[in-house]
Amino acid sequence: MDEAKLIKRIKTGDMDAFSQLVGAYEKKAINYAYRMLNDASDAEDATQEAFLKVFDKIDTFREKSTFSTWFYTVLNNVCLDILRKRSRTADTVSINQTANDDDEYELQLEDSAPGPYEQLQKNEAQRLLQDAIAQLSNEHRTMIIMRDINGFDYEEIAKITGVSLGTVKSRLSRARLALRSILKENRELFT
Amino acid sequence: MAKSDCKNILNLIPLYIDNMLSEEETDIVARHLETCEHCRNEYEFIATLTKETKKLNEIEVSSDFHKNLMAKAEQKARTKKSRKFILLRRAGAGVCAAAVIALCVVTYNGLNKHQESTNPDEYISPTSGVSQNPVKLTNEAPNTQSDVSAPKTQSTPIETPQKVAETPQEAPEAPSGGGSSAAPVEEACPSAISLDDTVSTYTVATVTTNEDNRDAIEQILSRYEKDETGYKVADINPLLLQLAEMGATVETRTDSTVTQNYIILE
Repeated sequence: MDEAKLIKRIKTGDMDAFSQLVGAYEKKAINYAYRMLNDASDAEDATQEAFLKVFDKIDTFREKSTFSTWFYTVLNNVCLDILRKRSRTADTVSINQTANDDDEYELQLEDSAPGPYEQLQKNEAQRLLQDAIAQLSNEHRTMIIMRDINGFDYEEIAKITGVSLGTVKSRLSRARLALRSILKENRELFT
Repeated sequence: MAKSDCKNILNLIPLYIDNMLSEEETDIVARHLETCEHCRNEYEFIATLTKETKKLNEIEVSSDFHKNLMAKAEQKARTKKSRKFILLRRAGAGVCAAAVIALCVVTYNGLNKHQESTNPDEYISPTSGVSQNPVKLTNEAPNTQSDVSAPKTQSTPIETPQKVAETPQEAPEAPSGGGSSAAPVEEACPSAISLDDTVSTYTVATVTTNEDNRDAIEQILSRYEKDETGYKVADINPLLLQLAEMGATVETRTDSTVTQNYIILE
């Protein structure tokens, strides 16, 4: 799929081209949003909103960055907006975080009934890992999802999140240590 | 092995996994891991977590996600197009009005010239044209141009509106007599000014909307008089723009069989 050609066609109003672009991105995008929001329905809503935003603004896309960078910037911001709204309205349990992440996290399992997508979890380790990622701060979760799930390189992550390369390194490092801290009691499941 | 060494090494392990340390730091970590079992275990644990994260099960896209998204995108595209078309028609109407005024001025001055040429006492400047008043040898004050309102009748068709409609990519197709919003080139000036001396054309706009917006749109339209055709709206373009911004789909056509602009709510 020649993305540049598709985008040119979309700018002329070609809906078939837009449909193809959506098809190429939708699964990974929904999974990104799912990892961020830990809710499948919210993930689809967020992804839909992101696609409609880029569609609306497609004429302004100048191809200085890749479409992927642009799209995930929009999607990431949509997810963060949802998370901010959630934290304003919901009762949240704070997780102690300090500069030294060692020993400061506890694994907190959600006590809500498992949703339909939890049926996809193959084993206990995956479920614990998924829960642990959900426990991370928004910043740390973003790093883990972008690097370890979506496979973006450090430079791309810096562009998408709008921070420096040094900040990406620092955040990702702390994010991985935070996961380690949450899961260390269940270490035996990961050897 | 000092505990502080292990703590420092632990902090470097996440980036060591990705080869994102400097050469010197990489070397320090590598040599430490050769001799420290505790840190080797930590390295393997963090590396395994990183690997397992990559393998987390993906959720599937629901079956109607794509279809729903495309429906919303198409709705957005239609709204965008309606807005562009309305703005284009406004521009076209502006150009038409300017063209008609220019025509009136030409006609008026032409008539003046004709009248003056029958009076042998008057001098007509060889360069007099649209913008000049003739110099008269009488004591009468020169004519001033007033009342440039567009006459309904004229002898010369104006070509300018055709260029306005042809240039953009969204140029409407030629209809077969009162067609849809793909209004033809010569219908870029719809509102009550006709360039054909026998036919007046008006705008008939069909508005469709979803249930969420219907009440609000009906409330707006209830301010206008309604007959069996639809709502009579004299100044239709601003209202159509407003309805399009509210999410309604607007399709317009020009119609020579009606006597004013209408909005039909479907």
